[in-house]
Amino acid sequence: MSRKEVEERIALIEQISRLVSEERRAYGVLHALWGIAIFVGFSAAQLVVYASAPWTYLVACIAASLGLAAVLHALIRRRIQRELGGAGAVWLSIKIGISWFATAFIGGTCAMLWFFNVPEFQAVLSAQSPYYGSSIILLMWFVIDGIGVMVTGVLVESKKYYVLGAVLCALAPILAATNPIHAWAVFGAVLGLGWFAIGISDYARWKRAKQGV
Amino acid sequence: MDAEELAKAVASLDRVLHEKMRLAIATALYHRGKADFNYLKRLLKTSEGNLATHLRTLEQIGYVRVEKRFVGRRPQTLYELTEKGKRAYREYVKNLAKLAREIA
Repeated sequence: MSRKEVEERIALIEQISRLVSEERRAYGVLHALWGIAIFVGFSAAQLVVYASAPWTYLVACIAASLGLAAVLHALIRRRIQRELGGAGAVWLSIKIGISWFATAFIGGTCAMLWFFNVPEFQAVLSAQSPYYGSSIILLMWFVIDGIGVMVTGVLVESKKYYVLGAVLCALAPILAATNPIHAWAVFGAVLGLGWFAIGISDYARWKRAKQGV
Repeated sequence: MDAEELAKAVASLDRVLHEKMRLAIATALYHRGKADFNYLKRLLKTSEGNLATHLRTLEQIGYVRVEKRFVGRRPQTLYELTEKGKRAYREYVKNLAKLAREIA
């Protein structure tokens, strides 16, 4: 067997893997959908915080926007799969899903254990409004989601995700040092609009590639 | 690497997967999961006859599973690597990488 033959096989494997991985961009429209849902849900939650309305309104705003996004996600995903001519998830998408689940589960558990087990922290929070405490919890999610976004960036080899993740992580201490109460709007604007922009750009790139532009 | 070692490394490669089109199909299915016939035809830029022949070979050896279903009123044939196929593909890629290192 010649060296050329081996190199040809390796090049073929790399080329086909790359083509299949590029398909993930078709699902960018789903990222855009979640981005809008995060933006709308968390912006509405911020208004609830500013108005000092009951906390159930805050939960309802987020649950309604994310719930609607979940339903639309299932419908749009099926349509994209039909368009792509496949079924089931691309291996890369499964890896991204697992990494998000692991980050959210491990990060969320650590954050909650810390939140409920540090007495000094509890004392500070008990002197503040209930929204102050929930804003502090949200700041923890800035870091957890920031890590999740960066892990996605590693998996899909995209700098856009690194930047978005890094911005989220950097914003947490800044907001904590200034006024955490604005965290909801900032979270919605940065993660929501950032996710939306990345999704739309991926989808547009896939569309262009598909049309051979 | 002497001639005997090289021959051993070459012999370790799966002959079924070493054929270019079958390797391309296996790579696509490994990364894509399930895919239908038209998807594979478009991705691999090949003729229906050629693709069908190689898919049949992979199916006969137990590397590929075929699933037929209807989407609305249209029939759709989906292909997926079996566990045996996935193992063989991973092994092939590992051996190919080893061979590439050794003949470099």
